[in-house]
Amino acid sequence: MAAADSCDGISTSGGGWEKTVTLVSSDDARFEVREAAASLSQTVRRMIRAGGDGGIPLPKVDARTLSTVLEYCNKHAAVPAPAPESSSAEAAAVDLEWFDKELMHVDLATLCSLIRAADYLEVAGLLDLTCKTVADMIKSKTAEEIRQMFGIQNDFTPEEEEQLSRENAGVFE
Amino acid sequence: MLPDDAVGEILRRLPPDEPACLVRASLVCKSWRLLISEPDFLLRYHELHPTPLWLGFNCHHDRVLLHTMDPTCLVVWDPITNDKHFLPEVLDYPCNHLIAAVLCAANGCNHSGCHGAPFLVWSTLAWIHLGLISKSRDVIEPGLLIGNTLYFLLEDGRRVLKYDLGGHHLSVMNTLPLSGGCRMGTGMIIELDMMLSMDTGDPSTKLLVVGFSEGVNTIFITANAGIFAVDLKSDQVKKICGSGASDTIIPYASFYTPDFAGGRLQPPVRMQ
Repeated sequence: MAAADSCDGISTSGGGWEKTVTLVSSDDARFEVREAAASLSQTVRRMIRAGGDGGIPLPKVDARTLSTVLEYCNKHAAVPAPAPESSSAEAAAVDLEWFDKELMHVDLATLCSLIRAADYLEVAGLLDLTCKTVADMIKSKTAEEIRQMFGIQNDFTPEEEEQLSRENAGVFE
Repeated sequence: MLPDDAVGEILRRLPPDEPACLVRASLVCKSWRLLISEPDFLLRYHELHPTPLWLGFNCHHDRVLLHTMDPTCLVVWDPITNDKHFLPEVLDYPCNHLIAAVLCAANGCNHSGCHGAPFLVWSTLAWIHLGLISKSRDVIEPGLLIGNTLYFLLEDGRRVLKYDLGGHHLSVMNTLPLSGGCRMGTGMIIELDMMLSMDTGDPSTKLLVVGFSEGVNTIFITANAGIFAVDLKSDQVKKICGSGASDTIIPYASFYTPDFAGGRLQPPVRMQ
């Protein structure tokens, strides 16, 4: 069966057998990961369905970034869905929130790599988490501070800048 | 550093209750400004933030309907784009007998950003119909749109005029008597006196509900010290102006994106 070609398996601590897949980063590092975790990426999920030999190549994600993405996927796929409003559901939510917060303690360049990876791999939860983190970082900054953060060139003419600040003056009051 | 898609994902997570954030982001560079100006951005922004923010002071679907005395006409105004449409008043009646509302008329519109879409102005000779059932002619209060039905208060809130937009059916019903608090719906009474007295700093102040914001759970109250917005979810009270001399406040709810406020810039020329 073609779809099984990229899938292997590992035994779990419970003695069961769980399906795994191998993901290959742009710098040829190989990651063996549970299929349930890898499937949080819609891109990977489609590639598993399509099948293939020798692991799933992810040419747009380097090993360092992929390892963080998989850390996220492993954690989030591991949390079972308990009955809502139960105490275990609440504890699991608190634990996940703490994990997410810790994962976001990285510099801006790493965050941007994670955003690009989450976008390419279509991991919705991670894309939301990383984008929210960056949005929180820029929400109180001036345009010039944002430019410095991202190394963006100001391409407005002085006349355009003046016109724009005039138009939007009311918002800053 | 980041492709436009990713920048868009970040920008649409900027909080809508701080419109200055989006404006500052739009001043970063031309490509960011262009991104925020795309109609698609506003739609996607609305997906993440379903409840629009009230920005200022009968408004539905991003437009305000105003009645002017000289010349006598109706004006449909979009406060964000500053587009104005003047409509001749077809009814030859004194202004305080006119009941009217402005609604988006675009087919299949989800009303997340109706700027520029066709609109309809609904008005009625209600006071003629009401002549038999209502003693008062002072029927102009801001209309409330719930689903497909418009509601207008009559006789200082003792009765309600109801108009079903789908079935074109006009009816009048009595409201339930108020006691002690502010009735927001069947079985829901909010005790505001204590909370507001504390926040307005004047225990003897007379409190009057002068407006509400559809879907945002905010009511507006006048007191001696000014006009206050009360967030009914969080119980937070915010002073919005110093004078309490206003009878009616009509909140306008929409999203502010910088490009609607002024002229659109030309897209940047990409070098080949």
